[in-house]
Amino acid sequence: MSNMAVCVAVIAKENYPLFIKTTPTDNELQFYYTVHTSLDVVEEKISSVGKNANDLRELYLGLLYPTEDYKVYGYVTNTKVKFVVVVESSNTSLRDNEIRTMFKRLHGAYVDMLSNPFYNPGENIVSRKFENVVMGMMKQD
Amino acid sequence: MASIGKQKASNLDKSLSKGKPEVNVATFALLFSEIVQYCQNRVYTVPELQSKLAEMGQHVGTHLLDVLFVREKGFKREIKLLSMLIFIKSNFWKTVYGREAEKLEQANDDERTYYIIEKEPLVNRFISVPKDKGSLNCAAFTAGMLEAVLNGANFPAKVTVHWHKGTCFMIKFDESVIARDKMIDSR
Repeated sequence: MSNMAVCVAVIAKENYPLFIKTTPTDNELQFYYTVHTSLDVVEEKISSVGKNANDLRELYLGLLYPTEDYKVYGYVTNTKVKFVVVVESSNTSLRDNEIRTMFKRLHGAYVDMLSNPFYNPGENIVSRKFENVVMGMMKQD
Repeated sequence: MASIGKQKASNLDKSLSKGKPEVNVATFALLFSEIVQYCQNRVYTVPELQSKLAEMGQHVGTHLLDVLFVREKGFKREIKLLSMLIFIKSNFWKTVYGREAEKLEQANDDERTYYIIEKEPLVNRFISVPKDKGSLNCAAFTAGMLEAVLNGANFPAKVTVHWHKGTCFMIKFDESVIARDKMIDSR
């Protein structure tokens, strides 16, 4: 069984990274580029051109773009904090529904983390609990 | 195995009730009084005190916004101005003060301005303003919360507090919010 997710990133409203975790590989930097590139697609998806109001209310953005080896999915919270998850293209067990559930779990963990009065929105995320949830999403089944 | 399924649902099968997350009003009043005193000791003028209170309210607002949306909105964002205001009037107010806000009005002469009017807000219940601080309204704390919630949800606005039919929160939205709302409505 392959990995669940190979990279999970949380990006602030102003598009700087709050948290990024990748599976240990030689080319971790590549994931940073992939996530960075995906932000343009996120921006495009949440801009209100040519969609009806109901689509705009959805937090889950779906597949942002596929590359040869990876698929990149996006999610934007109501405060414009972005979650980006990268999975391997070869992983066929992850369908849209599983990804959606994954994002909901991530959102839940983010909100729990945000409820900590010592965390100021916009700071880097250092919460152990949040990290554990992310690790759970990335570990081998 | 089949017989187990037919049995009457026991308490263990029922989902947990949400309960009432209420706090003693005395506890709240004590805490809020301490907040006001804390701010009072660090400022010189009434406007300064109000902005200090608003600043503290903003902290509460930013932390509350995401939690509220996840709990009440079922993984949807709010994009319409009016639905957002109604969300504040009902859901937000209920969570924070245990009941809905009394009145939500739009200004007659300005589409950017809305009012939320409360005859006696909870934060002001035990506060009698001294004579030398005539215009002070400690509900500035709530105004700060509102401002943080609106700004966080991408409805940039300024919220100020006034004495008018009780306490009146004046919400003045940014021009861009009105423009965007018209664009969404036209579709």
